[in-house]
Amino acid sequence: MSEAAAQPEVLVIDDEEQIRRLLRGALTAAGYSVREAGDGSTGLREVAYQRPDAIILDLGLPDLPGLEVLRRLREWSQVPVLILSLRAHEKEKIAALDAGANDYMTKPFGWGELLARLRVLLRREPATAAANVVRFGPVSVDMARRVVTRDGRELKFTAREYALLRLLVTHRNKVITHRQILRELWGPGAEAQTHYVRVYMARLRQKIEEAPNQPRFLITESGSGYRLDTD
Amino acid sequence: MSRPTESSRPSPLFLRWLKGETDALTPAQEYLVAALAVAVVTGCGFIIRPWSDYWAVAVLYLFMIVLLSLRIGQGPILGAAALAALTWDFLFFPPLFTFMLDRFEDWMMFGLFFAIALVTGRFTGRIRLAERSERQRARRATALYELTRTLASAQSADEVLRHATEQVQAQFGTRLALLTADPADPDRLVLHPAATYAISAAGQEAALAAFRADGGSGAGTWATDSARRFFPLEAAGRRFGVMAVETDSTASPADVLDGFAAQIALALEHERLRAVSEAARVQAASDQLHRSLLDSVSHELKTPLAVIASAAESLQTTVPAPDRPLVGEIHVAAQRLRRLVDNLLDTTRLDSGGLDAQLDWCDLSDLINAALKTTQDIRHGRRLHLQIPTGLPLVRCDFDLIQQALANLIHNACRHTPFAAEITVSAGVDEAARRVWLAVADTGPGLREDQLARLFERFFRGEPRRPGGLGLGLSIARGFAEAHGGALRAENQRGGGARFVILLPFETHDNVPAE
Repeated sequence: MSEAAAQPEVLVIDDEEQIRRLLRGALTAAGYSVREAGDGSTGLREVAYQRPDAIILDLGLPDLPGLEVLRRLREWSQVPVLILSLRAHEKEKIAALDAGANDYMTKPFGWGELLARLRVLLRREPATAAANVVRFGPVSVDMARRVVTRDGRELKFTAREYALLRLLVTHRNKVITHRQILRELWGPGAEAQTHYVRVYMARLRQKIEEAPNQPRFLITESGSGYRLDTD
Repeated sequence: MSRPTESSRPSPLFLRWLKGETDALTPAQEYLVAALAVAVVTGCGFIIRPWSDYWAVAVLYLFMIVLLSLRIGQGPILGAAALAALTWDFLFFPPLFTFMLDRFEDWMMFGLFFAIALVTGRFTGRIRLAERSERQRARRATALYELTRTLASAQSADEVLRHATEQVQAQFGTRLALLTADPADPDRLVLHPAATYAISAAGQEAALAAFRADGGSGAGTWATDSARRFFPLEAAGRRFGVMAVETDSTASPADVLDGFAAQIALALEHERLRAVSEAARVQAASDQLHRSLLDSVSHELKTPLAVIASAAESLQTTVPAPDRPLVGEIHVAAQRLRRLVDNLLDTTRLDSGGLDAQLDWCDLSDLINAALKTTQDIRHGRRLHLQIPTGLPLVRCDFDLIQQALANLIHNACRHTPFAAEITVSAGVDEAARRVWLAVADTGPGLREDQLARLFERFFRGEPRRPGGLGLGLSIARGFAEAHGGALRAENQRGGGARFVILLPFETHDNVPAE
């Protein structure tokens, strides 16, 4: 029983039974314990009583829009939420991420990718993340000393470039939306100025990536945001 | 039973006449009334004579003249005064039955009698005129109010025209015909059937000429000929038609009729706006229905495909190696269906006008990378070059749409060129033409002249026909580019092979604040 308790519990909220069965099979095989909910209100109840470790949420639910479920959930819970939706529009993606989703995938999904993203969501961040040295490829970021090196050579950043890099590093492997970045770096008044982010991201890529036009680490999540891929 | 109201209580004809509640008299009738009054007062004079002096009779005559002047004009009053003076002189004044006046005070009496009659006549006459014009104004205001009230309750333009015709006829006895612009041909006028004035064909011609004439003449009357006057039905700068009034049938001055015309035009404008907003509401409801239908069709088609694709991918790792190609086939087939569904839905979206480009600043290399990722499977094993200069400016576009347009072009290049052909994706800015371009070129056989012309037609598939695909990809790509105010061009390269270029408007963003 103690082994079962160690299994992370994932709640799947999706009205399509076939999708739930598929996810149950694959997630169980990958070592998760799975609960299911067929609509938004059942899902919210499940979260309240069962306290799952992560949620896979569909946006097109019969009773409540998935976004509404997410908003209500975020009023009292910070459980990681992965959106799994048929809708591939950036607008929906951005809305979901801004409403507090931690990641977004579209159906049909690749199993490898789904499990990898779920792993990232469940990874407990060390409390002293700032003290860590994070490495990806030839780059290493020393958050305590504020030193970034590539192939051992130190890179120069402006204060705001470094702030952007630090934001991506602390949320590494997760999507950060433009709005989140703008709010963090330029304040709430600048949320519509998406070109700031694009310009700064281009500068970061110039310094960090080997081929800035085909980035390996600073990945664009289509129109919605960015992800620092360190895996 | 209802109690009789104040106004319904009958009062003597004489009092009503004095108050002006009866119809106005003709001049001949006024003289007759004056003579009658003199006769009546003379009779009264004979009755009181035994108890009074002849002076008292003069006062009776004067009283009569004051009363008369409330209702009749100056000429008849003067006549009445003269008749009364002579009668008094002849019948009551000593010596009786002569017109002789001897004493000074008798001459004075006679002269003053005239003076008082004249002054009171003039004075009360003026009051009477003021009263009459006030009454007329009030009646016009009531009529205009009645018209406005009736028109406001009209439910359609037809009702507006019918009520207007009836009201003007009822309130003023004016016969009129309303002619409105034909909705099908705004250069023609249609006569509304409720017209109370049988306007002739020539009259209608004249109305049309007035309608076409530029600008009103200020006061409102456009044109007048012997038989009719025309008033513009014009409100909020829009001309609805012409009100033709039969001149014989109206006593109303032009400004009153012009007020009517303005009210009718306002009611028509109101009706037009109501119709427009109603149409917009119906359109919105239909769009909403269309969208939700599209959403559920999209959901129902895509869900099973997603299940098939995901299940196939899951099988890939679990089935024995010899069966894996079969699973791969399932995966490819599901993907092909998914593309088809996407294309059909996009085409429907383009058709229904449900496409709404969400403009945002995008990085061109991000766009290209996303399109490359989307086309990963079909490009598998093919040679692809990227020519993207560094430091390209940001482009304001809908990331989804342009990414997909580009993916469609890459997909197209892969499908219609031999496997050995190379594909080049490039991008750049044409600062002079204020345009950004994204191009997909190949080293394939190129496009034939007849193909070039029909390339972007829906369901057009190049010859020789390759299996698969509906021929929607290029028309969708062009639709998406055009939704940005851009374009999609196809051309043959000088060295051989086809080249497709997406052109987008080039805008510059505000400066990013320095640190």
